[in-house]
Amino acid sequence: MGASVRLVSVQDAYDDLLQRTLSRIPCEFGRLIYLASTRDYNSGTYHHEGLAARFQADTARKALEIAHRQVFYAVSAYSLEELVSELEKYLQTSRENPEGFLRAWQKLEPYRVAIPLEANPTIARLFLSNIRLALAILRFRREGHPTHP
Amino acid sequence: MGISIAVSAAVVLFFAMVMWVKSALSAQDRSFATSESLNREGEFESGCPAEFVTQIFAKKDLEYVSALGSPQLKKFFEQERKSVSLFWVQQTSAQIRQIIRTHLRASRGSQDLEFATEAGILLRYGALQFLCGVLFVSIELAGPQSLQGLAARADAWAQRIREAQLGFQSAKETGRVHGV
Repeated sequence: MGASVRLVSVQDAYDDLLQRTLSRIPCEFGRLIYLASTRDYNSGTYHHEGLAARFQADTARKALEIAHRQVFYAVSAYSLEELVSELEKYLQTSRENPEGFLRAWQKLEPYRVAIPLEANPTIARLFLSNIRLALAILRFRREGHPTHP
Repeated sequence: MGISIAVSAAVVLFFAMVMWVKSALSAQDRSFATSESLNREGEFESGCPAEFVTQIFAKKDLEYVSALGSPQLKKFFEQERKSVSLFWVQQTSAQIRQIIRTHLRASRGSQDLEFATEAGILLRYGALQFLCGVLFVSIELAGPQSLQGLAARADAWAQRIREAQLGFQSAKETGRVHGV
């Protein structure tokens, strides 16, 4: 009984997260970066003030973890063409200077933090590789000549 | 002429196999740590989902990159995909090796083992390791895009071994070791 109640509340928290927060982010890649940003760098645990206030902190943490894993697998399953398009959308919504954005992302690889803690290692590799490729393609398109690290 | 080609091919194959063994050995320590962490979350048994294996070896992305008309980008793509596909082969091989080790350890304590079943598992394991070796060499030589069928077969065999081990474990837990 206790377990089913807990599952239902995690589902509620997950639905709430989708409706109130994630649906407002215009692209899946943006959702991934957002969810990864709710995770503490040191402890690896998730925290969302509003969600924790509406549900219990533990329930909110579980919902965030599930959502992060799902979005990560969805983005990792994209074809390269789809990923390039997603990354372009994300770049546009970030309102950063595109050249600066691409240079920073290629050098610093901040997208590494988007990988969930217990992700399948092969999928994590594929994700990182595809992002590197997508960045190189975007830069190639913008500059009109091939560049990659 | 024919002999020199055969000798050259044998030398290439030999060095490729040496590379496979070396990389498999160097990946061993890393894979133990990895599979340990995977085991905690239950992903050890499932491995990499088939849709991702298909994606790694698919031609679709290569066609997309080729259409961009940049030889450098194409080369970069080929390097990246080769690296990911070799990683998958090493992971699969190491994971199955560990499953077989676990299985052998568990089966030593069993009273009612079926010889045919055990022989079948070991035979499948040997065939899969050979297939991983072939895949490794082929990826090194030709890249992963032409090997989708072979990769799918290796993935299916690995999945059967995982399922067999899961069946063995659950049978052992219930006190019956049949039909593994």
